[in-house]
Amino acid sequence: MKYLRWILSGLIAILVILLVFLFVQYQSLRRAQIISDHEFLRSQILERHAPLPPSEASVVRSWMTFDYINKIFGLPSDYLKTQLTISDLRYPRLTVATYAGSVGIDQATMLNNIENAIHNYTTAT
Amino acid sequence: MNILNELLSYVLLYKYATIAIVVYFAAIILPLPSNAMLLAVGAFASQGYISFWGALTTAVIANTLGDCTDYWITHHFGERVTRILHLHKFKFYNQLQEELRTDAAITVFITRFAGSLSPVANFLAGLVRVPFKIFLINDFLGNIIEPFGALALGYAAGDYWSNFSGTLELIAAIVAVAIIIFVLARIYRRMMKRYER
Repeated sequence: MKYLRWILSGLIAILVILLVFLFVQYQSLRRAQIISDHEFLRSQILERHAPLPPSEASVVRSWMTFDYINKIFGLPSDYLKTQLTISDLRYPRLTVATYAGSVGIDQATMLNNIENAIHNYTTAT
Repeated sequence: MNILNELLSYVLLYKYATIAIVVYFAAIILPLPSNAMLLAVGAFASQGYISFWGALTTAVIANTLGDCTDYWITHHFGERVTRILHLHKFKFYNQLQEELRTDAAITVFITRFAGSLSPVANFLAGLVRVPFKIFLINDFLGNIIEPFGALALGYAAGDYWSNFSGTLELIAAIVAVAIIIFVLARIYRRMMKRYER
């Protein structure tokens, strides 16, 4: 019984520490203006399904597929294929990392090329 | 590339099949980041790439099947293992068994939110032979709420989902600790009452 009481006290202390961490994280999200009262949720709901602007092209990551990149930036399905001269038959169901590996280009360069292509598309249209 | 990124690639390629496999094996006991994955899936749903309700249904079914697998493993082989380990000779183990059996419904339901500790509750439920019907109903109800939370947070966060993965992990840890406190406090209170009597 005594041990159970000690365990419970320890767990309550851990809980308090975790809550402090959560508060700190919430504050940092607010400082980064990712959460700002109701503005965040409202804008997210209103702009849902809308393609990302080219200024957000840096969100592209190597784990993303070309299909997904096309979808989130509202690009025509063959646009990146043409721009990056992709001949892989698996396109667009192909991740950036897999493609970079198959053509022997490092991922950072590939991501940079994709970012540029996204910027070019929006300036061209 | 970390494991979450690998999983996300597979989610983008094979959608619901990946969600089902990852959630199922995470429910059994494998340390896979299923909550972080569901957070991202919620964001993909907000971008219109995947169906929110399809992902939720897949996650609930896979989670319940994983939990049932745990339950059946100890239901069939648990007693043999406890005999080999001589656990049945420990007074605390026997008391814990009794407490779990009398408090099965609430324990099964709330431990669904205990993250990686919920497989432990599944194994225990099978071991102490909690009636399968009670286990299944409470497990299923709990499993609706838990993935819904992660998916909904991801859906609300949208393109900023990655900023919330740390927050989700913290919330999950807080909930898990709070649940352990709750379960242990209930056991402690009942044991105290029994001693007083």
